[in-house]
Amino acid sequence: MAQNEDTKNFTDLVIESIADGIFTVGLDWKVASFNLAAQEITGIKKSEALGRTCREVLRASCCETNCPLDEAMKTGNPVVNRVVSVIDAHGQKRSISISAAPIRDTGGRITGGVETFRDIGSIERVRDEIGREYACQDILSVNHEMRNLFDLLPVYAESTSTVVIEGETGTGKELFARALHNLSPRRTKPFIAVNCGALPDTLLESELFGYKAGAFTDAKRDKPGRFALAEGGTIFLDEIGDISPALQVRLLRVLQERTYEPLGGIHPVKADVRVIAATNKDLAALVREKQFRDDLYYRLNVIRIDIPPLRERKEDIPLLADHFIARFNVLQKRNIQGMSENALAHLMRYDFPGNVRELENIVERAFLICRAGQITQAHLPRLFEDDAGGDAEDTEHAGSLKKVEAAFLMKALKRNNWNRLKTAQELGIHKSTLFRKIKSLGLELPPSRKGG
Amino acid sequence: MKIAIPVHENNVATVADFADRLLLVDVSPGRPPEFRGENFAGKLLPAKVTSLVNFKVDVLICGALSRPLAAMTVHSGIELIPFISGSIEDVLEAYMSGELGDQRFLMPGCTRAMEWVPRAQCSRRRWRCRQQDAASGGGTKKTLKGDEPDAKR
Repeated sequence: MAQNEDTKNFTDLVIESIADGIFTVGLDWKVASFNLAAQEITGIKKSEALGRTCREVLRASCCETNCPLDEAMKTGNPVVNRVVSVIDAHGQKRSISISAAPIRDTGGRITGGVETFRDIGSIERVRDEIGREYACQDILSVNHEMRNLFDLLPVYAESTSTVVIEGETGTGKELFARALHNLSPRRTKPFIAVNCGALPDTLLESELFGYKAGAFTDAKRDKPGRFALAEGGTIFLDEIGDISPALQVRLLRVLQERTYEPLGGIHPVKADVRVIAATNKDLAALVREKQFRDDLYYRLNVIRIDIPPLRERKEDIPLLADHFIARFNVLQKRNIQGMSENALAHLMRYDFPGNVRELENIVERAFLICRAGQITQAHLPRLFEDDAGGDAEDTEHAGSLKKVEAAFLMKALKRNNWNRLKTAQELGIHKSTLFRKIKSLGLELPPSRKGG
Repeated sequence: MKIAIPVHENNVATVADFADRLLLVDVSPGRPPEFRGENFAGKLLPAKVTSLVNFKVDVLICGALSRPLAAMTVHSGIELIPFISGSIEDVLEAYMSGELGDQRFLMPGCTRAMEWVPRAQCSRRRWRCRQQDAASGGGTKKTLKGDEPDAKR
């Protein structure tokens, strides 16, 4: 009897010391025990909670529609890590992760249930804090070079000078442009983004500067261009390295004189627009190759931002992966717990030619395959494994096998004086098989002796 | 007078923020009360409060609720009686007879919660949360008009 009492005291002590909230209920749903962590998370004292129905105490979004405890007690199976919202006694909405299991007597009959819950709101708060510290507008980075850029962005934003953003595809050039706009005094005015590489040259000209009625067939009414739409704000010209020499001249005039003429127009229009241009090409190299006007380059290149590719700031991969997981959890109403260390280590080895966009796509794809728990290496794409070197050896091996086969066939053909029929007979294969092999291996036979 | 109660099945919904259904009760002197059910699901909090205003609700009787919902409700001029638990029938009857302040209708944690509920228009504040009193010797029966002499305002 005394031993039973000791065991109970010990169990109570353990339950009280656990960081997760725990309560138990009987079949009447009345709370029978309620630990210290449960009091802290719900804001309700143990004395108030005991004897009340658990829904009155927990106040979770699932209590009346999809109760995990009810499910566990009905099915006899535990429910693990279901994320729900609760309203605590302070009126604060918190996210908690709930697990529930049935309680059975010695005969195996279900006599109640136990629910454990963890405040993941605090985890989210920490994530928010990390986000704030390592974020500028919508850009996340822990990289030293990027952090320096974050410090300079408000300074650049205050100015009206033109900006050139250079960075590989997928590094977030538009995010930087938007950040510059949002931090600038022009933030209340429009931000207009134009992808110069996506439109043919003639169309791009009318798109940028607009046209007057009658400028060309079907131009029945005036159409304002993107510069007019961005009046007072910012225009973002992406893929500036792709525009034609003729358009480069017109753009140069806008930058020099702050005026432009719509197609078919006779009067210049003033433009109060800040120009931010971006490219994934090396503009200086294009100037050297005479593909980009040097005067336009120098006009644009007042402020220059070079965004380092993801392979040069791999320390950002965990932060970005975590950010994308949190975002897709919200967007797709899922509860993926994060990325396993192996999967993360695997990503860290990869060079990400598609940069942050590629990482985002990889996480999105992993969300399709991974239904719960953590994203593991198995959820990462095969293509990634190839590029990371997983199958590189096999490919190399296959390549060398082909070389051996080609050398073997060439020797046999040479031995038989390039007679393919004799060679096929010697090798014990049909002549058409030999022909197929010669073709697939790309073997060049001496022209004069192809017959046979 | 129009009373709104976020409900689940036959009970006051545990949390107003998460309630799917809203019961509207029109109470006029000399006429039997009129009941109407409205969808309350899937709306953002401002939309929920806008619904209450559009339904011309005078009093919201509800279970637990978040601070933003409490603040928006009270500042929309709706009288708020929060942290109520029980069946719709019992709660309405208690409300009509001025006994909704009784211990049996109060949710746990009510004392602490009342510290942050906006003062204006919150009837419960006038009744005070007497859980401790009740625990030490019987419940309280206060009138809806909040006319008890020691009411804290």
